[in-house]
Amino acid sequence: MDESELQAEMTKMTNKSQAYRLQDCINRLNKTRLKKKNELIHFLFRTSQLGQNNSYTNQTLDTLFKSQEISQINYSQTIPKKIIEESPINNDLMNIIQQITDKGNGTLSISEKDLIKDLIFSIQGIESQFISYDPINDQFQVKKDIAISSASRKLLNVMCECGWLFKKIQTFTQSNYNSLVLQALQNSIKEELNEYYRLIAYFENLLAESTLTLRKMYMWLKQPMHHLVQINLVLSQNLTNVQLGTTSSLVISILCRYSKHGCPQTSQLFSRILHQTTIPIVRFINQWIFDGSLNDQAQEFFIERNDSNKIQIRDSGELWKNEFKVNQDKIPYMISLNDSYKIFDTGRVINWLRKQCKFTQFNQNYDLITIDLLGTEQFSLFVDQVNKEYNKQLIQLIKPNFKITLNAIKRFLLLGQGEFIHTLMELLQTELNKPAQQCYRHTLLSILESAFKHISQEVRLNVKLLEPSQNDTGWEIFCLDYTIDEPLNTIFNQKIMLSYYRIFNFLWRIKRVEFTLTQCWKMHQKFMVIPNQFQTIKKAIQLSYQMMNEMQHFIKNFYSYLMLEAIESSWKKFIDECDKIQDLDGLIKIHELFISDILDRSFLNTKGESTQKLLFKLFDYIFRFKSCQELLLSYAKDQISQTDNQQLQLKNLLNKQQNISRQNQNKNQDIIKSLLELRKQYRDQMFDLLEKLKKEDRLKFLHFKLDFNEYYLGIQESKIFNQDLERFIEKCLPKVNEVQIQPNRVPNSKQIVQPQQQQQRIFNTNIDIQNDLRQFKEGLKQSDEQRRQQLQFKNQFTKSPLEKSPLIQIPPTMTEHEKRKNDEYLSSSDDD
Amino acid sequence: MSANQNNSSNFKSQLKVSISQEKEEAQETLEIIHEMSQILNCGLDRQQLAVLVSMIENGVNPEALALVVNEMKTELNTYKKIHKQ
Repeated sequence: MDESELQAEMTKMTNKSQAYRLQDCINRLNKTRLKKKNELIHFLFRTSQLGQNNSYTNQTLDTLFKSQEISQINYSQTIPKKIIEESPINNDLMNIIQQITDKGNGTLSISEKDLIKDLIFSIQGIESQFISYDPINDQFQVKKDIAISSASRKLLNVMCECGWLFKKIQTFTQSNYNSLVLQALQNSIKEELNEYYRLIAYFENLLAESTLTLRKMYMWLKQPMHHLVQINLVLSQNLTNVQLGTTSSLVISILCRYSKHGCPQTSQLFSRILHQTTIPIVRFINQWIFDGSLNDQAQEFFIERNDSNKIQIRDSGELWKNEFKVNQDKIPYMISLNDSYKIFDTGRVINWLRKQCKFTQFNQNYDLITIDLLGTEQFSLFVDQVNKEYNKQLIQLIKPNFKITLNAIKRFLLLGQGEFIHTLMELLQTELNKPAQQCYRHTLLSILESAFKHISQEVRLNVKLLEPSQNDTGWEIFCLDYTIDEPLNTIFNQKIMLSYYRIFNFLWRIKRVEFTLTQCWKMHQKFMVIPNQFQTIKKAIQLSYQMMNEMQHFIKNFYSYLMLEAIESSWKKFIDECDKIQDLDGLIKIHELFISDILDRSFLNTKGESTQKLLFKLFDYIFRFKSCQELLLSYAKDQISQTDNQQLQLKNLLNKQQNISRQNQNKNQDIIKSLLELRKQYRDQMFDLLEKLKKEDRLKFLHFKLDFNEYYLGIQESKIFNQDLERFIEKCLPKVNEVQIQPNRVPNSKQIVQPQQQQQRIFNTNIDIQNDLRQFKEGLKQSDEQRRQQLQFKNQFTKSPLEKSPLIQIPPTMTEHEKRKNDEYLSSSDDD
Repeated sequence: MSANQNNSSNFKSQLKVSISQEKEEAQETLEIIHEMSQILNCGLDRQQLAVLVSMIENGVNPEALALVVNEMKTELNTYKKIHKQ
């Protein structure tokens, strides 16, 4: 009962005080916690016996249970909403029964028309007279106090569900979204709902003609309800996601899957919706592929800008790789991963071309992608085609520049241009010999410029000085640098240039060693002719010459190995691959491969670190050898010049000179000792290196070149050449000891030279002479004995006067030759 | 522990309080309803009213209930009449 009814009721009451009291009570009742206050009040009014008639109830029940006469049902006590006259109440039993059994207020008789009218409102989500929205149960419900059959109530409730679905969908369509895809979705759903509105208008039409019944409505509403249910399903799946960004792709994926629904109506519905909804995505793709631009406010597209402020536009390599990236979560269902990467690549290429190469003319021979194309095979083909086209343009642009730069790097950083490097080294050597702190870039640069004059071209070379550590000379920190600008910065980025510098360093070092050895050779040439008097010096110089040759052999072979096998072969491979590449990524990759290959073969990566250490030690020995040799040659020079002087001032300086010569010889021995030690160490290192090289297959050739006659192997195995000083001296200078023992014998300077030689000769023949002498003495003795014997024999037989007996024999006379010999021997034996 | 016990005792006391409160409220409500029925001359005493109110609160249709009540009254009346006779 409403307030108005109550008021009306109470005005009917005669007793005003009672009315007030009643009002008061009702107020108090309203403060209580009863749930069904209205019902209670209603009930109380019904059961009240305030002089009003209560006969109707009695009668009604009587008629019902006692089947007596039915009297007119009096509704005067109640205040019906509707006017009684309108409701055609038949005095039909069934009617009464119905009105009683129908829950609710029997007094409110509602025609179907009213219900339908209300229902029309409710299926649009609007509350109406009889159908209210129950927020507790979240449904539209026919009001409970309305007397309608339960069957129709049920029907109505079912159709009210339509209204509920509609309301939900409407809340979606009316909310504001940033994302374009969701907006598109809203639009498409609105279009679908237009159908629905049309149906409703049709209903209203029919209602006006009063040919519409509940059942009819129900049948009509079946299909739209089905659609609404589906749409609602999809929406609920979407709206559970919090991040709008992913909802776009999720929406499209879900729609895509639903468009392949088994039920043809549903699939059609969703393919329509999908069609609309993918318009923004297609637009994004078109923009990206053909223009390289990204206008994504709500970040729905799967390509997003990598927003880090660290990326400067002029940074090398970073722009290409990191400016944009693919967000795999956002790729819609219909676009495969490959295609999405191709799309990404195309746009990236365009962007890069525009920014780095300032290239803006693109061929736009392609139609824009349409939605139908999406999700079909032709799409992938199309994307592929566009991608290839743009990449081709990119490569065409870059290639000439790239080739030029690459060639230049090879010529200078990889020491391709030999004569330039040689002249450079010659010019720089004085500067670089200084300690590292004293090497200044501008001096080196000026020298570099002067070296340029030897080549006719203008080259963009620069000098780079590395960080000097302690005890570094200029040699260690010098590095050539090639300036690279956009757009090749992407390919020749910092990391790659670092590897180039490393290779350059290594090659430069080897070149320096080679240069050092040629300097040694130059020094040697002055001493090719040494007078025979300086045997030790001569032998020492010969030794150092041998060593120099050994080292040169090693260096030359190693350098040729590097140049040929390490660099050239990788270069050839690289150039071959270069012609085949089709996009920038590939180019970068093969370039990196090329460099890593070189690093690998020249022992510059971590794997070859031990070999590298060995090599550096060898280089170190070579440098030490050079200094040793310088020492030796300066000493030799001193010696030779000294001995020239000696021949003029003999007697006075005799003793001193002998001391000096002894000192000199000591010094000589020191030098030779150090040389021999160096040689030993060097050979040990070489052997180690060769052992290492043996282990790897591809270095076998190098190993063979370095040790083709297994010389080092032989050294290690049999230790033929014992490096001791004594043995060396013994072998080469057998008379040194002798000479030393007899310095006092020599009275004359002139004889210093000769007696040595003489004595050498004498000594050599002395042994033989002594032997011969002995033999001859024995022979003589024997012959003497023979003569004596013969004389005795003769004396025995010479008692007869006959002197001239035929028996007397004269002893055999010596021949002339023997006589001479005898004389000589006898004279020589006097000397002994 | 003591806090817990306090809490539980509090809870129990609250329960007791709420129960007693409820009883009071119910009494009050019944009084009001009784007064209203008096004003309206329903002819129902407190016990009957309590039962009827609880029935209505549980969802019984008040119209129907009113009909039933009236019928029962008349029945009663007729019975009384018959008995008196």
